Amino acid sequence: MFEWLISPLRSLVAVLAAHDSSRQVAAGVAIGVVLGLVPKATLVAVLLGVLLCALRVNKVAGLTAASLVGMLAPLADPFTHKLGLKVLTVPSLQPTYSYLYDAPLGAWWGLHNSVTCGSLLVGLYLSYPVYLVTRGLVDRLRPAAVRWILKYKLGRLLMGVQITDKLSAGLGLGR
Amino acid sequence: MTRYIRLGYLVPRLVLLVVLFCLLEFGSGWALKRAMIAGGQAAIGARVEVDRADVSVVETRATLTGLRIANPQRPMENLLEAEKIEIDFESDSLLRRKAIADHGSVRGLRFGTPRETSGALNPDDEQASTAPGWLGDAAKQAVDQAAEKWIASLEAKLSGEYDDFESVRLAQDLSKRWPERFAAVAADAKALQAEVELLRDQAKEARANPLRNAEFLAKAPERVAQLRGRLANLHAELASLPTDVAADRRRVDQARLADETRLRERLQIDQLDPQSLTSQLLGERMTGAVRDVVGWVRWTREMVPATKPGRSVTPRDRGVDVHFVGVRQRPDLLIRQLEIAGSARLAGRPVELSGVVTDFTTSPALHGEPMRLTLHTTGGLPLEVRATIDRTGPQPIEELIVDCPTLDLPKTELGNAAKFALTMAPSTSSLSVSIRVEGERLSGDVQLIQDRVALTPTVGPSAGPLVTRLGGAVGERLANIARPATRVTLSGTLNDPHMALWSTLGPAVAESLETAAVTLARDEAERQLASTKQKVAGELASLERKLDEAMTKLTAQVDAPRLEIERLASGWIGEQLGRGTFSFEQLGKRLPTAESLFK
Repeated sequence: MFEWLISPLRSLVAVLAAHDSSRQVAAGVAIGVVLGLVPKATLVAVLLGVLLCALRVNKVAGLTAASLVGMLAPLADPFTHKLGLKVLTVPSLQPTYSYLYDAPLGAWWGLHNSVTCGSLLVGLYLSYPVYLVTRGLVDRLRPAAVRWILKYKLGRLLMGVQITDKLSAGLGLGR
Repeated sequence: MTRYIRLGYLVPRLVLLVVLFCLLEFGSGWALKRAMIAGGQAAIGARVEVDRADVSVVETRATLTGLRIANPQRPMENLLEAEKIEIDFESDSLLRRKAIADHGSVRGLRFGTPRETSGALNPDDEQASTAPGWLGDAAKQAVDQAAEKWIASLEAKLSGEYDDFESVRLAQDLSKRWPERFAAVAADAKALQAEVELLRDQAKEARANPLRNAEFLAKAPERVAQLRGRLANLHAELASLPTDVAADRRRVDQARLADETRLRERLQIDQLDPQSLTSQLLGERMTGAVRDVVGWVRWTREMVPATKPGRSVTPRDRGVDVHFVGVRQRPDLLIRQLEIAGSARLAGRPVELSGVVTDFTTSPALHGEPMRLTLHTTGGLPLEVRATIDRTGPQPIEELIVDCPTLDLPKTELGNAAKFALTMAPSTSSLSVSIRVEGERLSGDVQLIQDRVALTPTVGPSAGPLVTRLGGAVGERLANIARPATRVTLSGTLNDPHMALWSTLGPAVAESLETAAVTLARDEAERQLASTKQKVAGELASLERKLDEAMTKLTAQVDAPRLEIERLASGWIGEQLGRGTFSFEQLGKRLPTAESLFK
C-alpha cells in the first residue's frame, strides 16, 4: 500500500535519477510540452497522449511537462488563436483543409479550431528546442541530482535502494 | 509462440484497450444521461429525469429509458414522459463529429402525468401560470355590465305601471267637466223659469191695474221675445249636448290609440348585442383552449429559439472553429424521422397517439428544412395534428393545423349560473384549428361547428322575478339550434394576442332572448292597455249615464219655461186683461191711446 502511495513521487525522482537516457527524458518533455499546449478534447491530444505512453520516452517527465504547460497554455491562447486563424484561413489551402475536415474522424482532430491548430504549430515549433535544452540540462544536472537524492534516507527510499539492499541481503547476494 | 509475440507487452495493452472500450460503452451512457439532464433543465427550466441511458459506440445507438420532463408552470405535473427513446445514429456522421440519425422512435409518450415530487428547480418557481386571458378583466366586466344593463332595462320597462295615459286623463276630465256643463244648462233653465214666473206674476198684476202697469205691458212683448230667444238658445245647447259628447268620445278614442302607440314604443326592447352575448356565453370556454395553444406555441418558441445562419467561424471557449470553404455544413444533431407513440388525455378523453417528427435538429438553419410533426390520435377523440416549426429563415415561423372531424362536447353550462345560464346538452362537433406565427405576428383561426345544439335556460337563485319569467319565456325556443358555428380569429403578437370571437350561437340566443322579451313586453302592453281601456270605458259609461240622466232632467227643465212662454206669448195676458186672447204684440196695439184713456 505504502509502495503504491509513494510510487508517483518515486517516479518523479526517477526522472533525474533513473536509468532512462537523457534523450528519453528530453523526448518525453518535448511531447509533454506539445500535449500541454493543445486543447485536450481533441484527437490531437489523444494521439500525443498515446505517443507519450507508447514510445520509449520518460512518461513521468512528459506528463509533468504536459501538466505544467497545460496550466499556462491559456495564457498563450491570444497568440495561438491568431496564428491558427491565419493558417486556417489561407485561401490556397482551403481545399486541402476541406478534404481533411470532411474525411472520417477529420472533425475529431480539432484542427479546424484556431487555438488547437495554433498551439499544435507552436508546440511542434518548440518541441525540438525543448528536446535539446532538456537533454543538455539532464546531462548536466543528473550526477549532482543523484548524489543529492541519495544523501537522504527518503531519497534512497524513493529510489528503492533500501529495498534492493534488503532483497540482496535476503537472497544472500551481498554487495 | 511467445518467441514471436511479447505477451508481457501485448496483454497489458489489450487489457487497457478493453477497459477503455468498456469505459466508452458504459461511460458514454452516463455522460449522455448527465448531458440530457443538465441540458434539458437549462433549456426547460424544470427538472428533467432519466432513469437510464445506454449508448453503444459500436452500434452507434443511444437508448434513453424513463425520461420525465417536469412542467415548469405546474411543478407537480410532467410536461411529457417517455418510456423509451431509441435513436440509431449514422456511424459515418459520428466519425465526422455529428449526431445524425435517419430514424428514431419514442415509445410510451404521455403528457401531463402527475409527479410525486415537485419538478421545480427552485421552490420560488412554484407558481401557477398567470397568463392573461384573451378577454381582459375590463372587457369581461364591460360585457357583464352590458348584459346586466339589458336585463335591468327590461326589468324597469316591464315592471313599471304607467299611469300617464292621455285617454284615461281625458275620460276623467270629461267625467268631471260634463256634469259642470249639465249644471250650467240646468241653472240657465232654472233662471229662465224664474224669469217666466216673474213675467207671469207681473202680467197678473197688470191685469188688476192695467194703467199702472202700462209701462210693463208696453215692454212685455220685448221681454217675452227675449225669453223666447234664451229658450231657443237653451234648446240649441241641449240639442248640441249629444253631439259634443260624441265628439269627446272620439277624442278619447284617439287618445287611447295614441296611448297604445306610446306604450308600445315605451316597451320597445333594446337590441341585445349578439357579440357581447357570444363573448359572455362562449368567451372563456372557447378562448381558454386557444390560449393554451398559444401558450404551447410560446413555449415552443422558447424551447426552439431562432437561429441565424452560421458564420464563417464559430466562437468556442478557446479559439474559434473555422468553417472551410466547400465543406457542407451539417447540424450537430439531426434526426430525420422520429416515430412517436404514446397516449394522452384530450378534452378529458384518453387517446392513443402516433405520429412522426421529421427533420428534428439543433441547427435548422444549417439543415435548411423545417421541423414537421404529424400526429394522429385514435380513441375518444380522433384528430390529426400537423405542426411546422421553421427556423430556416430570418424569422421563426410556427404553423399548427388541427383537424378534428368528430368532437363530442359534454354537457356544458354557459353564462352566469347564479343568475341566468344556458345549459348546453351534449353535442357532436367538428373542430379545425389553423394558427400561424411568423416572427411575433400571430394569425389564424379556430372553428367549431356543432351538429345540433339544444340549450335549456337555467335560472339561478339570485335571479329576479323578471329573469325567471324571461327564462320561462325563452323556454323551447333554444331547444333546437341547427349547426351553430363558432370561430375565434387570432391576431396581434405572440406576447399580446388578440382574439375575436364570432359565433352564430350568440345571435341565435340573442334572437331567442329578444323574442322572449318582446313576448313579455307585448303581454305587458296588452295587460296595461286592457286596464286602461277598462278605466276609459268605465269613465265613458259613467258619462253616458250622467248624460242620459241630465238630458231627461234638462229637457223637462227646459220644456217647463217653454210652455209658459208660449202661453204668455199666445194670449194669456189678453185673457187676463179680459179682452180676448191676443199676444203681447197684439196687446200693445189694442191698448187705447193715452188721450182716449184720460179724457
